[in-house]
Amino acid sequence: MQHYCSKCLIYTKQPYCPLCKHKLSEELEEYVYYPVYETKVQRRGFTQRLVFFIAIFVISTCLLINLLTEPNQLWFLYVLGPVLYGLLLINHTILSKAHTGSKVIFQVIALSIMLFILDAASGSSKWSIHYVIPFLVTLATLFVTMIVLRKPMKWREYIGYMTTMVILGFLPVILFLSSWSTVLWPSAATALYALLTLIGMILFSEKTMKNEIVRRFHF
Amino acid sequence: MDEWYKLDNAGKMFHAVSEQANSSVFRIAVVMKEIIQPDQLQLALDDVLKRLPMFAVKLRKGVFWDFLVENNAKLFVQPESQYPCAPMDPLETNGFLLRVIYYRKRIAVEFFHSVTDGTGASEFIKALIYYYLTHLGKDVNHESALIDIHSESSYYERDDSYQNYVTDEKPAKFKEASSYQIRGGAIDQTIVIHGKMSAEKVHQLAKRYGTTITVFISALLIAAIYKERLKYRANQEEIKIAIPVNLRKIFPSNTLRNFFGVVNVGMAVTETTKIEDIISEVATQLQEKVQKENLQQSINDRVKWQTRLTARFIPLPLKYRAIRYGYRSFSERTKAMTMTNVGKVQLPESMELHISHMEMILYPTEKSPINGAMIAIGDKLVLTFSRIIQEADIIRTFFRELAKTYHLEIEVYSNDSR
Repeated sequence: MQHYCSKCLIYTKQPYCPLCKHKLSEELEEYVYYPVYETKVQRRGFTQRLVFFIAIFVISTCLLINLLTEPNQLWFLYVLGPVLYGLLLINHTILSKAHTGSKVIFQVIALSIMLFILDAASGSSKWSIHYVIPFLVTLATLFVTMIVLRKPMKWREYIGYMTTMVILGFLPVILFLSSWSTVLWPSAATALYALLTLIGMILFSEKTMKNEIVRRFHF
Repeated sequence: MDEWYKLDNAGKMFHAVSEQANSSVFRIAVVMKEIIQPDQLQLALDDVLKRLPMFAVKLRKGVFWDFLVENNAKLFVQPESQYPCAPMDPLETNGFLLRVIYYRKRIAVEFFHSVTDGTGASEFIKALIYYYLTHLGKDVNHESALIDIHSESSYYERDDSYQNYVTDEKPAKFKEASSYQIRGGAIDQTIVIHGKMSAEKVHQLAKRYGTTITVFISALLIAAIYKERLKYRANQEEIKIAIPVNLRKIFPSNTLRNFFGVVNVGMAVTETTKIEDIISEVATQLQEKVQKENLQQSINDRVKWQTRLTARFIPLPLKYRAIRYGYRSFSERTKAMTMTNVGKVQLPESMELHISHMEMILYPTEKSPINGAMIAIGDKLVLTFSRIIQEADIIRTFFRELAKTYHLEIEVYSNDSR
């Protein structure tokens, strides 16, 4: 049923004039043209924000107490590392919908940083750089390789992450060469493993890999 | 899944600038005469994506540029439940950069602008309706100037025509003057108001002024913006309307990807300016700006910034920042509103029989919070305004003017239920 709005001089099927909102009819709306929209409650992100806030709260409180009581001994670093890591673990690894590959890489980086901070705070015997970080990288590379082997269809999606892992694999050796690290064998083993993964990628992927590199680096 | 496409020139821009308040998602819709059958629509969609594979894509991240790859997932048709032109959420669409929506008699397709432009979109929906009617058991045939639906997809359909027509000519430097910008109280949803009228009558009106529908409507819009926003002030800014131009008409191309340019037309209006003055000024400017040389220049301009060697190797996040800055300060500032005219959609009689009318919705943006679009089929011309501000004053004045001065019979409908 058409109504006429004498103010706007137009016809409409809606009980209110869409232009001036003047009431034209007592009838209930028929929703001929558009549905009643679902109002999506914006819940997304609330948990993340809460976790972020708690992290800031804990760190700042510890920092303040630390500075007020024992400014010579920075024990808040012991809190800082694990809290930042926990933040990433909850907000990214668990709650976000990011790609598994990126979650693995972020985990490796965050764990490395946390362990490095803990190491530095506890007198810097460099156990993190010497042993833990190289093996962490190897483990993560192995993990991504296993995902790819289980789901060969998704291989393409993981190429970027695999490449990043391989590059990370050479990081410990660089640390050794720049004399940050003094124990060679874990770094060397990690580099070898990364190299083997790279060779495996090239040998078994054949065309896919080349194609993927072309796409990703096109300019 | 080996097929991949570089984003075309416009596609890169839309991808870079899209955000919550600027979805870069536009809608083209067909309102049928009968209630939509979702199952048949799904079958039709499966067919279309097979025939037009360059639409079945998802975005992937690259180091210097993102790109499109074939998407083998299934795209499901969905009942309408969101406001029009909502941002494309890959989780909702299985990675696809379009969504197919139905509500009662309407079939709507919303596209992320990186994939295609208005012309490509209308080819897509024409094919979709064709398959849909076929699945319903109707005896229909398909005709199109761009594609042959019964053969395999051709290479031309996925051309990046900007690249094909770029020349070495040095672009002349000129800075476009800024325009008055519409402001208003921001709202979260896109409110659309459609006005349905006789295409023939509007055509006759335009003819009376010796001009086209696009010019006539743009001039009326400038007058409406002046009347509602700029009447009482000392300093009269120029009011400019951005008009997208289909480049396929001047630079022959069969591409279904983006291939359009944008020209801005407008003037500063005063109390004494008559509608005839605006029409003649807009007509002169438009005619001048759609000359081949000028459009060639705009193609060169567009391609230039992305092929400059320094620009090529800048990592993506920085590049996107730069594009966004350029878009806000050059592209968005030189217009008050965009008004796109898809024109009259040509369909064979057998298909047109089942269609009531069509709708086109252009997404509004923060700096251009009201945008307009028109599309016609048969004698039904539908002019749609979408807005993300509360105020409907300009739209109201525009339609009132059309009805009062030109005695047009207009049916208005909206998604604003109250």
